[in-house]
Amino acid sequence: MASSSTNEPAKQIILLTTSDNADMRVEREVAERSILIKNLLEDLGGESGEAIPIPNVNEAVMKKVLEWCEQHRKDPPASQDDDSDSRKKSTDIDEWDQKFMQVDQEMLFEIILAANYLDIKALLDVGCKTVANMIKGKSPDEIRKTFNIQNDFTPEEEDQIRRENEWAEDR
Amino acid sequence: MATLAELTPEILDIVLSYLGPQDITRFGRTSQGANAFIRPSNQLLWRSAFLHIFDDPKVAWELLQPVARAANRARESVWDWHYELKRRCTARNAVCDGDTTALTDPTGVVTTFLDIFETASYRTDPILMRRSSLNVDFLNNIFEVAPRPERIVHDYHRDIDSASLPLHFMADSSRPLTRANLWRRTLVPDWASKFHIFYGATKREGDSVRAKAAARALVYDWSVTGPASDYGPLKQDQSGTVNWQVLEAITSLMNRIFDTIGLTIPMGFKSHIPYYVSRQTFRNKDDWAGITGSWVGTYAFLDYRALVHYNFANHLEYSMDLGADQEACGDVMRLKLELSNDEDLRNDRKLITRMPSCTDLPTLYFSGSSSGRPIGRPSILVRGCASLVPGGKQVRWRFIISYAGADQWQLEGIQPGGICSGAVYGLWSHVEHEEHGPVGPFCYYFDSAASIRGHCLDPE
Repeated sequence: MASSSTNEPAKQIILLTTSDNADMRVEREVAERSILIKNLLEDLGGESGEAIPIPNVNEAVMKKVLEWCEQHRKDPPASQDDDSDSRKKSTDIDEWDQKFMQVDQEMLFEIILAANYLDIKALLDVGCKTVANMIKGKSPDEIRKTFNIQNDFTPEEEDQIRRENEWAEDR
Repeated sequence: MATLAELTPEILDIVLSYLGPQDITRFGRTSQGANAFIRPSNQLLWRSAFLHIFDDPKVAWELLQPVARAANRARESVWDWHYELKRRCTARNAVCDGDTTALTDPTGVVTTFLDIFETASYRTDPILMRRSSLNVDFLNNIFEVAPRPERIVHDYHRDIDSASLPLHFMADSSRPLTRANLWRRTLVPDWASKFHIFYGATKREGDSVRAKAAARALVYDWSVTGPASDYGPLKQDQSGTVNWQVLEAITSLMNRIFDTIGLTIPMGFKSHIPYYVSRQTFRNKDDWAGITGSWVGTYAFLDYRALVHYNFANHLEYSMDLGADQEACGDVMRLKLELSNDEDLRNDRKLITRMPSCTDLPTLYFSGSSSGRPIGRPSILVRGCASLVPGGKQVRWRFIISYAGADQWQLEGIQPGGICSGAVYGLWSHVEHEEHGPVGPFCYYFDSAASIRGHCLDPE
């Protein structure tokens, strides 16, 4: 595994161990889409060949995450763009990512949590955009149905909160 | 099973950052936990919701000159994203819903719109290469979708549905306009005049002879201006600050004139934002006021006998209505101006003012001529200066027009939108200011297209 030092560095293979004890072999360049893994590899000197434990992500989710990393391996690194920060954020998602995110809700949230843990900002953003799009344009009741949220308001509370937030309704 | 509720607050923050206020509050209405999450004190969340609809106010604030910025600091330090967003949406709703209670005294609504306008800034879309402002879009949208929205632009003081003009000095609308009534005109608050100026001409105003009469009653009154206001639309207290009521009347008349002669001038919210004319248009970095280039404008005047009669022969007890009088306008003038460091201009007696100005930026001097005059007509020379009005938010302009070997006219104007904004409005008078001389309104605006063409042809 660590014997590839004479080959192109891009072909270096590393080993990950998931929370359910599955070992996964992956190209280093792909795995380094995760800032967490990238930093770990740098700390370990990158040549040790030891398996890297990923205790918060199971194999099924990790597969999905690595599939995304493979697709986006050549993306330029995320830049801290102050300008986009001070403007309306678009919920547009590119076609491949849209298809990729067509998973059941549980998997969607698992991917988001994994992307957060593994520090893959672009994937975290795509996941969050997908959830945002599931909220967009819906009534409170439709949002509850979509996400299986329990309505724990009394009718009086519900009415009061509706009135308090009336200002935000589009005209 | 992972659920929405199990996402960490940080992740939920990211999710909601993609949504506007309607979606956020609807999410908040789903459960106690969600409602707690969208509480007003979650400033990060409400900042992002605010920025879905409005320009970041910081951009406009950073463009303020030091004096104006200092005056704004207190506001910035208490800025609350939720409060400001709710305030703006509530004002919009009042107009869009035709809320009679809120509109009977529209102070809150109009001052809020004015605040939206004053925190607007342009941003260039990197893909479309188009400059736009969310605030301007928001305001324009209200005037497109709301029922009879122009009723909030002027005249609401007496009667929200009244068909007469902005200048609400008529205590009793059934009485004819008189000079006696004029003395009560101090009632108009500056914010009302400003909002009318920035909005531009309304349909109701255009249809109203009374509106025209009211505006003329101010503009053609010899007593509204004089040496204490440098014969311009300034307060007569030597403060060098803007008399917004007179400026409103000037814009009202000039907008009519331009409409009559079919000239499209920069009008509306979009044009009165600082740097409406992009700074890139000006090659000389010292030219902060955006002087060098082509300017277009004209002036209007009343028949001299009518002017004298109105000011002189018209006793306070007798009414006089200028609405029916003929007002004429001069030729459309095209000026070619250029920034100048000439010592003679700095020391020019006719360009000196004793009024204070804001010293954040230096007074600029310029000279030029009227271009495009038919051959054989005597050429018209122009010189003048531009300075910041105390407070640093508007620009004051003086043009001295000379021909036939002598200085003829002084044009004293204000650019209400600030640096490099839409147009300069003001009053013209004879340079020597002999008693009972003719006066009238004028307007000039920077012609970007012609200026850029001019640069291309420039052999330098």
